[in-house]
Amino acid sequence: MAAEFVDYIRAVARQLHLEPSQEREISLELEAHLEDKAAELQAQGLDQQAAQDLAVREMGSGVTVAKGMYEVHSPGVWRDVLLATVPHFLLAALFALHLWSHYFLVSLLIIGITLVTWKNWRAGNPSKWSYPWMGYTLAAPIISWLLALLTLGYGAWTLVTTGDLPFNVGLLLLLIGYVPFSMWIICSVVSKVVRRDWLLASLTALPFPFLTSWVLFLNWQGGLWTDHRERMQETDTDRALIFLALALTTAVFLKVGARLVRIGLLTLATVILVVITATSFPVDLGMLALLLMIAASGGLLLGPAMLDPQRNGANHPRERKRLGEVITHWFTNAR
Amino acid sequence: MHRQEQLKGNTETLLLALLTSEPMYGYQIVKVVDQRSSGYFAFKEGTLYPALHRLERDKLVDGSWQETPSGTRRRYYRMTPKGHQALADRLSEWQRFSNAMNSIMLPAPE
Repeated sequence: MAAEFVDYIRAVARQLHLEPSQEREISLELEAHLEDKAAELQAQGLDQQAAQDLAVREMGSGVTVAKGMYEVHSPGVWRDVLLATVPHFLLAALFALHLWSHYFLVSLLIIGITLVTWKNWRAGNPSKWSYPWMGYTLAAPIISWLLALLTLGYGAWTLVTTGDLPFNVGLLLLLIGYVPFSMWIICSVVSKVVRRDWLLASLTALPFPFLTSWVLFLNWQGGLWTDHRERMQETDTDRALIFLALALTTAVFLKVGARLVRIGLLTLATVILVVITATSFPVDLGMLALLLMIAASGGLLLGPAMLDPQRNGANHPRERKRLGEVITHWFTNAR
Repeated sequence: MHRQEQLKGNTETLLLALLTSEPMYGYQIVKVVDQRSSGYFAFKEGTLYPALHRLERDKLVDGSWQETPSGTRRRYYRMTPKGHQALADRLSEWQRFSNAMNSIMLPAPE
């Protein structure tokens, strides 16, 4: 395939953010169009290079084509919307019914969500609805990583100030091993999601700020394993409403096609819900803490954009050659 | 610019009208539009594909790959029964719109 065509199709593919099979179909269709057009222009008397250049020019902006395709193919059907909101509804129910302190029930819920996620993701082509499920599956390693890190920090501080470790060496070694291990799990999953579309990674991360702030607050209020349920249950209605709002945000996200609207929706919903979360705690966190929470949550949600390989990928000649080979491979296999 | 805006609002109806006679592939559609309109509708060819895919998503057309005797593969779009019904509705609406516009912009001499 001509280098001009590869460049053009590459420009479209970089902006598609769709399932690999859809991207393959679209690339093949555009390639067939460019080949037809260039062949006809050559038959009219243009030399090969001029014909290829004109064929690409008459296609118009690759970004516009990709944006149009994204708006057509990215919205989920109602089944996707319904399934995607289920984990948010389950969490809302957990808080509304004051069941979060029933550890057996919570464990069953985590195992159930993890199994559904694993079943959907092991095939290598996860459905649109499965990203929120992945978010809750990742919540356990992320929150435990954060708690392990805090515990290590507390241990180090105590060791420096008093000369004694507040826990035994076995636990210390376990924590030192667990922190990089859990981070490796999180990074490998996040990198996989970002490769598909960083915005889906943001959708996956949507519940993190609310789960993390709640667990940290729970910890701060006397430790995760002490009996504090009555005091914490005062905020259960607010927690339930926040998870219902997350379900609504997810539903709207999956039904709208415009990328900018999706980004705006996630950002706005996060800021509003972080403010509601902060004000719902039975203590005054202060303006600085609130601003830090908003900044951290916003950074967490929009951070995946910085990891996007499509955004960072340069149009290198080697990559161009590789893409040519990939498209040829698709073409051969599609026959 | 005005012409482009008008085309943008009616691209899908135009596509349905073209596909009602025979299945076509993308580049063929571009050529037929150019011939039938004598070059009046000059548009960026890539923008055709999101419109075709939207019609396919809404099950108004059905797309499938076919191979020509020379070995070239092309994606042909053909109308579905739902597409025929949608076209009939849109043409009827277009007729009413066109009559109303003409009655104001091109009034019959008294």
